[in-house]
Amino acid sequence: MYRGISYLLIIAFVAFATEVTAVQSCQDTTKNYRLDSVMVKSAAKTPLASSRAFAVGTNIQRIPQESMDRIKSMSLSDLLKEQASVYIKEYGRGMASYVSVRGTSSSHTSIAWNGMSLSVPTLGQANLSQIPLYFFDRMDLHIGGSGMLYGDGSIGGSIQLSTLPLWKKGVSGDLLFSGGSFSTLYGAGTLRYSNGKTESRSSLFYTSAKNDFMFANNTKPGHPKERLNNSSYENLGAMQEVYRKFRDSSILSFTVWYLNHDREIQPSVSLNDRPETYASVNDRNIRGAVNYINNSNFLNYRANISYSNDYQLYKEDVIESSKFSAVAETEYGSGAFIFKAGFSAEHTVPSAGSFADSVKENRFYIYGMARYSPLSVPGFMISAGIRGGQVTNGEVPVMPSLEVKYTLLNKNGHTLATRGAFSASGRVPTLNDRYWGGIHTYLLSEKSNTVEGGVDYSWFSGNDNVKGYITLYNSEVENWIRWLPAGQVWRPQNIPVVLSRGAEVGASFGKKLGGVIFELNVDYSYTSIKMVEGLRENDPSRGRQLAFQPKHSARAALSAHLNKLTFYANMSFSGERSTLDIYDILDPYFLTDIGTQFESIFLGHRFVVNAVIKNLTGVSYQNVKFYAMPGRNWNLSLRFYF
Amino acid sequence: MEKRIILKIVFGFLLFTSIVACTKDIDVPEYQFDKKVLVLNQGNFTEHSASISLYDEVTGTIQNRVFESANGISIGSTVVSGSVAPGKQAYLVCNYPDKIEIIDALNGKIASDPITDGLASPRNVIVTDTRIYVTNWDYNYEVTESGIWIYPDSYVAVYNSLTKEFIKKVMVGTDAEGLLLLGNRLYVATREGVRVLDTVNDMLGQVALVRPENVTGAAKHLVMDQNYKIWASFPDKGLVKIDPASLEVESVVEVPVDAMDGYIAADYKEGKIYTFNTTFDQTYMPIEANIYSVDVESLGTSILYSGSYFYGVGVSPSSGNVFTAEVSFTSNSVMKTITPAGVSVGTATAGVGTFRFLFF
Repeated sequence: MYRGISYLLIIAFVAFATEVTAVQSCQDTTKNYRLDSVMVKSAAKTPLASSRAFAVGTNIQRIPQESMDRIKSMSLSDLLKEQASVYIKEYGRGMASYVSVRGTSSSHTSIAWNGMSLSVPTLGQANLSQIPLYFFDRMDLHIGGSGMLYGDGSIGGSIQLSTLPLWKKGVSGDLLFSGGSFSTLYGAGTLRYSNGKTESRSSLFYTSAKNDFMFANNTKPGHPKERLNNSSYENLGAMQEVYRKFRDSSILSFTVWYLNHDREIQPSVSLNDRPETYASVNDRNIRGAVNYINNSNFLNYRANISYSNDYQLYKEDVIESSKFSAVAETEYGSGAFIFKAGFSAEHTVPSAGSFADSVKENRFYIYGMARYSPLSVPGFMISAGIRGGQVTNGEVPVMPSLEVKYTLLNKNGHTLATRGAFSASGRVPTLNDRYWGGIHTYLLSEKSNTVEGGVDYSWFSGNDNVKGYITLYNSEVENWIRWLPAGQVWRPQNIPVVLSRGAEVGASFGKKLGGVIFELNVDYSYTSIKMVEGLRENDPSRGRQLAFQPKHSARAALSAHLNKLTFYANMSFSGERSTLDIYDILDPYFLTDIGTQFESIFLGHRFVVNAVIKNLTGVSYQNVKFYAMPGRNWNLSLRFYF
Repeated sequence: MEKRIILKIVFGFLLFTSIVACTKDIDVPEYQFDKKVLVLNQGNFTEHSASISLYDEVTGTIQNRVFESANGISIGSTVVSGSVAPGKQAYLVCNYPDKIEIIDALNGKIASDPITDGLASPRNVIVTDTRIYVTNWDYNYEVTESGIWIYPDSYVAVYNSLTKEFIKKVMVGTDAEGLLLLGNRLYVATREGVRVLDTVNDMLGQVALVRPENVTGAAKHLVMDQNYKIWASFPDKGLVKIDPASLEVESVVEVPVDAMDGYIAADYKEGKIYTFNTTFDQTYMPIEANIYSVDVESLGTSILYSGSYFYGVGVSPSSGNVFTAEVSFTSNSVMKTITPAGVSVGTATAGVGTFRFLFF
C-alpha cells in the first residue's frame, strides 16, 4: 500500500513539475501582489470585536484555512502537532491527547468553541483527539497567559475554535471521505442552506480505526516487533447550526452538537499481551447554545446561553457533569477607543461515585477591557482589562492584563513592531480537585503572572514576503495543583511556585518562482519550566525541567503551490524529556510528513484529493513512555463540494 | 561466634532456608554479604515507572536505573516487593503487568526469563533452594463499607525454584501479603490473621490461624528476630509477637505502623524491629514521619528518626544502618541511611517511590 501511495505522490509531483514548466512562460503578473497597508474608515456597522482584538501585545496564531482543510478528517490534536509550536502529550494514535503551552499542563490552556468551553468540568481539560476538526471553520491559538480575555484556565494559552455562517444563498455543502493505514476510515458530510436571512448547517461525521500497527516493545529483550492490541476506536458526531439575520443586522443563532467516542484504551507496551488488563472507555458530549448578536454603529452587544453535558463510562464507573452557562457582553467603539464589558454565570452539576450527591458549583465572572489606538501616535496601541468573579468553595483569582504594541517602522514593505504584555491568569481547581473523595476546600486556586515581550517583522515585495517574530516570556505559576499520595489515598496539593521561562522564534517565507508559490514556515520554542519552590525542601526534581516537557521543540512546514496542485512537507522535532524520574530520559524524535493535494472541478463542482504519508522515515518513538506510536502510515482523502 | 549467630539469623530472615526444624539449634550455611543494596523504587502506578538502584555501602555511591542500563529495556511495571536468593539472584515482584523478574543482583542483568504463570496481582516472594512461594491477591475484589478494596480469593503460588515451573496454588483467604518460612512452616500474613501452612510435600495445609484478640484489621508483613520469634505487623494496632513453637501470641506492642504497606524490618544486631509511619493533617499534607524502634526483649518503643514522608524501612545486616527514603511518587526519592543511634550518615537520590532495600 505504501508503494501505491508513493506512486501517487510521484505522479502528483511529476504533474506538478510539468505544470511548473508550462506556467513559467505565461505568468499572470496581476496576481499575488501585496499592497501597502492602508487605513480605511467607514461609518458602517462593525461587528463585536473578538477577544483577539484586545491582545495587542501577545502572539495569536490563526491557523490557515487551507491547513485545516487538508486534515479535516483528523482531530485537533493532529492539527496542533502539524501547525503549532506547542507540545502535545499523547497516549497513542487517536488516544488521549493533551496540549501543553509553554510547559504548562493541559488544564492551563482553555479550549472553546464559539466561546463555549470544551473542557470537561470534572477534569478541567479536553481530550484533543476527541475534538473533530471537520466541524470548525477557524482556529486561533493564543500563546501566553490570557485569563482576562478567555477566563479560567488560560494560564498557558487558549485555543479558540469557531464555526461561521457563509450566507451563500441556496444549497451547498461538502462530502469528505478518507481512508488510511490501520483500517482507518472517515466519512463526513455537511449540508448548508441559506436564503440570505436564514442559514442552516448540518454536519455529520463517522470515523473508525483498528489501530493495529506494529511497534518495538522496549520492555522485552531485543525489542521485538509486536502488533498493537486493544487500540481501536469508533467515533461519530453531529452538529446543527441555524443562523437568523434580522433587519437591524442582528443575528440569532442556535447551535448544538453531539459526540460519541467509543475507544479501547491503548495498553502500555508492557501490557500489550495481557488481555486481562485491557479496558475501554465511552465518552459522550453534548453542547448546545443560543446566541444573539446585535451590532449598531457604536454599541454592540451579545447574549449567549448554553448547555453542556459530558458523560464518561469507564469500566463500571460513570462520571457525568452538566453545565448551564449564560454570557452577556457589550462593546462601545468610538474612533480610537473600544471598550468591552460583560459577565458570565455558570451552574455545574457533577455526578460521580466519588462525589457527594450535594456537590454543585456556581460560578460568576465580570470583566471589562479597553483598547486605545491614538491617532496622534500612529502605530501605537494599548489595551488593558480585568476579570474577576466568585465560585462555590473556591476563589476566582483577579485577572488583569496590560498590553502594548508599537509599530516602529511601516515603510516600503517593511513593518517592524515591538510588543509587550503583562497578564495575571488563574485556574479554579477542577471539580475532581475539590470534590473527589471529599471536599478539599484547603486547595487554593492556581495563579500566574506572565510578562512577555517581542518583536514582529514583516516584509513583502511583489510576490515575495518574509515574516518573523521573537517572543521572550517569564511566567510564574503559584499553587500549581498536583495529586500526591497521602497514605492510602491520593489528594491534590498546591505546589508553591513553578517558573516557566522561554523564547519563541518563528519565521515564514513566501516566494513565487516561475509560477510556483513556495512557502516555508518554521517555529522554534525553548521552554524552561521548573518547580522552584516545592512542598519538600530536598525534592530532587526541584530546579529541574518538569516531566514530559521538552526544552526544545521545533516544526517546519514547506509547501509549493502551482494552480491546483500543492506539494507539502511538515517536519517536527520534540527534544528529550524526562519522565517523573529525573534520570529517565526519553529520546528526542524528528517526524516528517509529506503529501500532495490536487484540486479541480468535476461536473461543475470543486473537489480536492489529498494524499499524505505520515512519519515518512518510519521513526520508532514514544511520546509518552511505554505508549507506542505508529511508524510510516498513509492517508488518502477526497472532498467534494456542492 | 557472635558473627556466626547473626549470619545464621540473617540467613533465616532472607528466607531461603532449607526445610529444617524450628529450633535454635538449626545449622544454616553462612552467607557472605557484598555490602550492597538493591533499592526498589516502586514507581508511579499509572506511569509504570518502577526502577532499581544499586547502592554500595562501602563507597556510599548509588547507581540508578541499573535494570535499564544492564538490559537495554525497561521493567515497564510497578515493583511491589523483592527478595535476593543465595546465588545473588534478585526476584522482583511486579504488578501491571504481573511478573517476577529475575536478575543478577550485582549488575542488574536479567538472569532468566520472568515468571508469569500463576500470577494474579502478586505481592511478595520467598525463595528456597527448591521452592518459590508467592502471595497473590487475585483480581477479584470486594469493596468494604469504608470504601476499601479487599481481595477475598488470595492465594500462594508455588514454583520449582530450579525450573521456575508453576506447581500449584493454595487459597489462603483475603489480602495475602507478607511471607516467612521457618523450618517446614510457611507463615502468610492475611486479613484474617497469620496463616501457618505446612510445606512438607507441597501440601500447604493450614496448621493454624494466629490472630491476637482485640486486634482489628489485617496482618501485613512478617519478620523474625534473633530469638526466632515471629513478628507480624497489624497496622490497626502495631506489632504482634508470635511464638513459632506454640503458634500462640506472646505479646502485642502498640506502635504506629504504615497503614498502606505495613512493612517492618528486623535488626538482629540491636534486637529491634523497625516500623515507619507518616501522619497527615486535614489538608492531607504530611506533618510527621517517623521510624519507630521496638525492642524485642523489653518491648519498649521509641522514635529512631524523623522526616517528612517515609514509605519503607530496611536494616543492613552488614553495617547495622537503617535505610529509609523520603518519597513523593511524583519525583525521585531521597534515600537516607541512619545509624542505630538515629544519626543520619548519608543521603542519595534514588528512583520514584523508594520502598524496599534488599541487602546482599
